[in-house]
Amino acid sequence: MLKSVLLAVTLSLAALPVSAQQPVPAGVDPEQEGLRILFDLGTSGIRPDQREILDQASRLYRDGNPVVMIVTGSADTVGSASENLDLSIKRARVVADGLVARGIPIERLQVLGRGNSELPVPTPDGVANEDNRSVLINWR
Amino acid sequence: MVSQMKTIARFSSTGAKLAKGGVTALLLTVWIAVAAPAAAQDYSSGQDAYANRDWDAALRIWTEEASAGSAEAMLGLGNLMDFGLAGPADPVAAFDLYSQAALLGNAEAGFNVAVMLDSGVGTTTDKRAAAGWYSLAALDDFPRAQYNLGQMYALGDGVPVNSQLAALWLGKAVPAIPPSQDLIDTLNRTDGTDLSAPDILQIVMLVDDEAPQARLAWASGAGPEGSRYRIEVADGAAAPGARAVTTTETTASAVSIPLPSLPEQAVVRVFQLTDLDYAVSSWTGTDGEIVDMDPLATVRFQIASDDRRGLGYAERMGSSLQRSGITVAYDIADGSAENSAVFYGYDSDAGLATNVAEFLPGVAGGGANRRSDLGLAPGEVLVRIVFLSEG
Repeated sequence: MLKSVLLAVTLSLAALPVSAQQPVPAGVDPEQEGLRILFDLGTSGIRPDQREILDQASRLYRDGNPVVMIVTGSADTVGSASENLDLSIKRARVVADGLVARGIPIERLQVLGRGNSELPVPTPDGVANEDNRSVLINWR
Repeated sequence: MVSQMKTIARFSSTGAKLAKGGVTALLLTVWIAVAAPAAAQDYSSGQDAYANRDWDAALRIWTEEASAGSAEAMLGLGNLMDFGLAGPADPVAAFDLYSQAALLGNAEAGFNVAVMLDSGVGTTTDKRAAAGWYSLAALDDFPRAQYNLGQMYALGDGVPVNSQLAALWLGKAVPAIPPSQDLIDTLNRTDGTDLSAPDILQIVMLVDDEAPQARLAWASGAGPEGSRYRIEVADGAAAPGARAVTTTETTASAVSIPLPSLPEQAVVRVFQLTDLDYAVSSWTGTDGEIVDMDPLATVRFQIASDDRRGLGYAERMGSSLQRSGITVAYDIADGSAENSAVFYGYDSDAGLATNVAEFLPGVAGGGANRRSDLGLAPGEVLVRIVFLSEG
C-alpha cells in the first residue's frame, strides 16, 4: 500500500528525475555507508549544522563520473504515512538541490522518497527518531 | 562529403579489427556502413563516445590518443578505469592515469587526482597533496576545485587555517557554486599576526607551443594585513652569478608564471611578505625536494661613473661577498648621491645590511636604513658608494 502511494507521489514531481525503484545500482560498495543529513521535526530545510555534510558529499564526487548519486529521503513515524512520504521527498529534493548548487550535474542524481518505509531505525508509529528524519546520500 | 570521410575512417578501423575474417568481413563492414549508419556509431572523439555511453568505443579511441600523449585521452581512460566502465573498477590505475594527465596540465584530471588524495580512493589519503592539486585546478577556474580548496582553508584541513585564502578561493567559486557565499559568510575573518614561510605544495612545468610556464601552488597561514606572496623561479643548474630569476606577486595561493626559457633544473621559492618584512620558503625543486642553493641574498652596489676609488672599493668588497655566496651586482648611477649609504627593503635583511655597513667607511649615521621607495626586492641590499673624487 505504501509503495503504491510512493510511486504515485514521485511520478507527480517533474523538475528533478525522481524514481521509486530500488536504489542500489551495480557496483555499490556495501562498506560505504554514505552520508546522512538530519532534519528537524516536520521540516525539510537544511540545518546550518548539516551544510557541511552536503559539502562533503560534493567534495568526494569526481569529475566525469557517470555513476548516479542517490539521494534518499526518510521521515520519522510521527504523523500520517502519506504526509511523511511527502515530507521525505521534499527533504530528498532539498538535498538534491543543494548538491546541484555545489556543482554536481543534475542528471547524475537520483532522488527517492521512502516515507516511513525501510527506515534507518525501524520504529513503531508515532516515534520521533532523529535518524529517521534524514536524507542518505550514496553512490557507486 | 564529411559523412563519406567518416565512413572511410570507420571502415579502416573496423576492418583492422576483423582482419582475420578476410574479404567476407570487409564486405560485411561495407554493408554495415551502407545499410545501417546508426547501428555502429561514428564518434568524433572519445568524449563523444563516452557521452553516448559507448565505453568500448571510448576505450578504443582514447587508448590510441593517450599513447600519442593526449592528456584528454588519459583523463578519459582514467574515467573508464575509475568508474568500472571498461571492466572492473580499478581506482589505482585511474589515479595513475589522472596523475599523468594532470602533469600535462589537464585541470579536470588534476581535480580528480585531488579528490582521490582527499578521500583516499586509489591512493593513500594525503590532504596536503590534495590541496596542491585542487590549487592548480582552481587556478584554471575549475569551480569545484575552488570550492573544495576554500573549504580546506576554512577548516584547516591539510593546510593551515587561512580565512584570507578561504575567502579568495570561495569568492571565485560563487558564480558557479552559490553555497560558496554561505561559507564565506561563516568565515572568521582574521589576519595573521606573524609572517610564515609558505609550504610549496606542487610545481608543474609545462611546455607547449607557447612559452614554457611554471604552475605552482603553496599553502600558508594567514599573513598580517596587506600581506601577499612573491614567487621566484630560477634555474638551479645555472651558475650562481648568471642565475636569471623570474618573479611575480599575488594574493592567491597558486600561480602560473610564463618563463623566458625552460630551466634545466627549475627551482622555486615563495615569500609571504608585507611592505615591511617577509618570510621565505627554501628553494624547492619540481620533485618537491628542498634544493640547497645559495644565494638567498643580493648586494647591489651603486657608484658614480667617475668615482674610480669608489668603484675599486666596491669591487673588492663585492668579490669578498661573492665568496660567501651572495650575489653581487654593480650599477653605475650618476648624480644625486652625496654620501655612502646602505639600504634594505625588508626587516629580515637588516642583519646583512648592517654587516655590510660596518665594513663601509663613511656611511652616514653608521648603519643601514630600511627604505620602501627604492624598489628593493626581498633579500636585496643596496650599497651606495660615494668616495671623494680624485678630481
